[in-house]
Amino acid sequence: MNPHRLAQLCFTLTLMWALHALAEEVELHIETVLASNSSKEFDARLQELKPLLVRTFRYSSYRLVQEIRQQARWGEEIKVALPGERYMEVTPKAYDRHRISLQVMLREGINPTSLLNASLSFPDSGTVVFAGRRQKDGVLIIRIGATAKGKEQQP
Amino acid sequence: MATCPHTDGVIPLLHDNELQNPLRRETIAHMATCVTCARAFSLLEREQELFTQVVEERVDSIDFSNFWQAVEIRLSESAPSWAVRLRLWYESWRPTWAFPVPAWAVATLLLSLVSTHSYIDYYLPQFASPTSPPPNSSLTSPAPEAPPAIIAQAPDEKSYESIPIVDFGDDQTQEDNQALIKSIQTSGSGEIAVQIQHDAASNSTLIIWHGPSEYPQ
Repeated sequence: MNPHRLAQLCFTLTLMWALHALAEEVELHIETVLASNSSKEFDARLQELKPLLVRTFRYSSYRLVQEIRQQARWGEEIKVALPGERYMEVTPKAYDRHRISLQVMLREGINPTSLLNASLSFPDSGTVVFAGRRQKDGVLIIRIGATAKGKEQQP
Repeated sequence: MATCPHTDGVIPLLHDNELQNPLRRETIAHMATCVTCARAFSLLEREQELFTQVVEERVDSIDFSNFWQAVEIRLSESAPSWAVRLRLWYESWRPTWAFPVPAWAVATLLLSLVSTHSYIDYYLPQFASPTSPPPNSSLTSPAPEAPPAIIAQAPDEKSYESIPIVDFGDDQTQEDNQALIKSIQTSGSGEIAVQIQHDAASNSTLIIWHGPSEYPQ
């Protein structure tokens, strides 16, 4: 192989690696549940979550008020509007040893200070649940799931 | 033999229908009075007739009976392999990317530097920010199974100053199925309790924060 061809090959391989690195992203799945004692209704879309909710909380009604699936780049901040003039900022920070690091901030109105600012990591395709802030006559329960795309999945 | 200056100039153009009015009208009017030009025009027409006749005779002599069969045979012939086509494509674009080797080397180096920088930023933040806070040896356990409440007094309601509830640092023992809380900060009025528990059945980690009156127990 002549040097010219070799240089072109190296460039092509580097370009492919760069494109691969840039293409990797994370899929966020954010579900917002309003738990209250206003009724006995249990949202049918929350069947998967029902055991966890029943074991952990003591409300009679659970309603899925928002569900978002969004692709994000590593380091990209995703803003999610929540009921009650709140919003959540989720930033997938890094992927290391099959674990996803997230920065989660919950803000209220125009208050520059976050109600909650958590830095955490959990297994790829795992979930973390935030709960406890009063919303009308109940609380908001926010489940965040993250799955890394373009990564070797944990067996 | 009589000659006319228009014979070689405008008469062939008139025959080819290339003249526009008023020159066309003037030439036709001139040809009606000029025998030389009229003769030249007639010769051109005769020449055209003979040429058309010869072409038609040649076309009639061609045997088209097997024409479509031949087309089908050519269509059924296997296309060149992808390697050959790739080679042809490469050769067709070669002049476009025929940069010298040093140019390729510099481009490769720059691209690899940018890619490596992005890779380190996104996937290996511990190398990108070597000044991370030192681990807190007293808080190196992962999120516990039991729901202990970590209680802290938040600042005054109007100050909106975040306070660290807990900071586990970077040096935690990583257990496969649990979320690891590196730090949690919160703000607001009064006493705030943060409860962290791992639900093994759903493989979820719960972070519950509340004041005394916000969460019914």
